[in-house]
Order: sequence, then structure tokens, then C-alpha cells
Amino acid sequence: MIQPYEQAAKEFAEHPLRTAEVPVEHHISHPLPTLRWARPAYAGFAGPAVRIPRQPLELGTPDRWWAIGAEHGRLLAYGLVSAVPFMDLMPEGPVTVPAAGRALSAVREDRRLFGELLTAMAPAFFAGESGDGTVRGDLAEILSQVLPAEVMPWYRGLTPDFFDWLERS
Amino acid sequence: MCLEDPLESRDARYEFPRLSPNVSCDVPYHLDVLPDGRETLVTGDVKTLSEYCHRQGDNPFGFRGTCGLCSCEGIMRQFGLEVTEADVVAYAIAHGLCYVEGDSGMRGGSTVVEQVRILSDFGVPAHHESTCSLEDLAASLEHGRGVIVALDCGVLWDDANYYDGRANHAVTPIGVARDPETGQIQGFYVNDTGTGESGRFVDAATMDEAWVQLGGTCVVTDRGHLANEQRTAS
Repeated sequence: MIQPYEQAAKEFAEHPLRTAEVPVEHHISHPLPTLRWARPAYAGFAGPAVRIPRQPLELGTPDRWWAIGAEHGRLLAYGLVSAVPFMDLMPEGPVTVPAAGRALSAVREDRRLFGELLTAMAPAFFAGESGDGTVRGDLAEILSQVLPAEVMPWYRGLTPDFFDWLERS
Repeated sequence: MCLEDPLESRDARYEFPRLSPNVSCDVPYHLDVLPDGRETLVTGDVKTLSEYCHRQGDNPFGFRGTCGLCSCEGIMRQFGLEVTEADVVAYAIAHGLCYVEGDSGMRGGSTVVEQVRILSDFGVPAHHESTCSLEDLAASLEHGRGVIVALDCGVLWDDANYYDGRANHAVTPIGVARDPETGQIQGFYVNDTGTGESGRFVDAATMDEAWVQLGGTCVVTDRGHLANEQRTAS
């Protein structure tokens, strides 16, 4: 059974490899669904970041990625980009994410909605089904708000099958 | 600057004073008033420990992602060790205990395990814990232990630009505030090298969202630090 997205995202971000392998200061992406390892998984990437109060967020090129099982939350794969790149011709960072000027409460609400929609739609994606087109459209819309455009190429590179499905007409 | 041999740097030392093995702990407490006017019982020498904080990035290597290393520096200074950020960064580089890839400004990050190793190497044995609660954190501080917590600085700074919903910053709590009548935790006093703010009061709800709900991961020293009188006399 596919876990609710919030649970999967928590297990992704708090996996023990985080304390041993990933610097605290690294930016960790949102995990997205994928079948690229032939089983239901959530995959994300991480890379260095600079956070200086009242200045835009700067993100470096991702240097690692990992995936957990969508059903059990256990680690499926972990790799350093230098050893196991997750995409060809990865766009180089750093990228600057401009301040959106939004309140924290509004961003939290977007994340909540994003999680709800992914929980509803992920089973269809993993089953190879289209799912409800309207909800899929809502998910695509909230995704474009939650994921900064500057880092979208890295997300697309790691989970291309998910974006193919999401943008299917 | 020579990254390959940081020991050559004139700004960073390699010989460090070692911690006395006989360290006792006597954590002070006093009544105070919170910024919102509530009365509080503060445990911890917040005034003295506030001195062990500065804005991160004060090192000759151009590393800016050093909140974890600066937190280690702050803990070591709590224990009476005279070290600087430059010392800790140099040590971390030399021993492969921090992130050294890419642009220099993005270097200097450290894992929780690396922070434990650095503290232990400097004579301050420590370990890491996860799924901790606010009461766990308070208990550590009330026993005089040095603590580094990994939290979301977007929540801490109330800044959506840095909100990840995941731990992305390391800070050092130095005191706990409890309701004098009920004993309920009202918040913590925190040294934050990201902003350079010393002894800032962070309410319990913010700490819960920024830290507990995101895994409650922290580094805790195995013993309490020196009381102020002992620190001054040593």
C-alpha cells in the first residue's frame, strides 16, 4: 500500500543516512514519485545552499540523490552525483531563488495541499493509470508553485516519468 | 589560501587546549521576564553563554555554510576551550569532516556525525540523538550539557524563503525558560550563527515546529560544562 505523501516525505528527509551522510546545511528537495527503479519509489536530491537572512536562497548543483520505497519507506538507492549521476547534462548551479514575498503560513498551506494531492494521485501514477485528469491538473498547478522554477530542471532530471505522466493530455 | 594544507594558514591554529577531566556542573537558574511580559524561570547561564556566538563565515577559507562548525566552536567554548571558527574549520578540512566541494561560499557544511566527531576529537565527548522532545532538550540543558539542534531556519526566522519543512540549519540552545508555577516549557534561549543573534528567546511552539516535528535531531555532549566560576578560574 502506498504511504500518504506526508509520511513518505518525512521518512525521506529523516532517514538515518541524513545524519551520517548529508550535511545539515544542504538543501533537500521534495521527494517525487518515480518508477525509474522498476518499483514504486519517492526520489529526491540534495545539494549545498547558502542562507543569509534577508537575502535570496542560493542553491548549488545537487551532489547526491536518494530514493525510498513508496510502500515501506526503506532506502532503495543512494548515490553521489559524482559517482552515479541522475541525469545527463545536469544544469550547473548555483541558482538564486528569488524571494517570493509570501507569508510562511501561505507557503505551509501550499505544501499541505501539495501533499494531499500527491497522496490522492500517487497510487494512479504507480499503477500506470492516468487518474482523474482534473486532480492531475490541480497537482501540476500546485507543483509549479511549490517547486521553484530555477530548480525544476533537476526535478525533471531525477523523476522524468512522473513529469511525463503529470503533463499527459 | 591553500585548501589542501589548511595547517599552513596563519589564521588557524592546530594545537588546541585540552579539556580538564574533572569538570563538575552547577547549572544556574533565576527568575526573569519573557519578551511578552510573562514571568519565567530561566535555567542556564544565558548571559555568559551568549558570548559564545558570532555570525558564521569568520574564517580564512571563505566558507559560509559553517553553522554546524560554528555550533561546535560555541560548545567547545562553553567547555572552556579557546578556539575560533577558523580553528574548527581548519581542523574539519584537514580531517575530512566538512563539505569542501563546489564554490567556496557553499562549503563548510557538516553532518551530525561529523559534528559529534569534531567535538569528541577536541576532548568534548558527544553523541547524537533523534526524535527528541522539548522536554528532552530542556533536560539536557538543565544538566549543563552542550547541545546543537538541527532545525528549519525558515521557521526559526519566520522567513518563507528558507522554509524547507526539513532541517537545514544548526543552532545552539543555551537555556530553557519554564513557567515558574506550572513548570511548563515556555521556550529556549538560542545562539544562532546564521543571524549572529546571541541568546535569542524562541518560544516553545516555534521550537516544536522547527525542530521536534522535523525529526528532533541533536548533538548532545556526554557531560555538563563548567559553571561560570570554574570556567573563569580555569
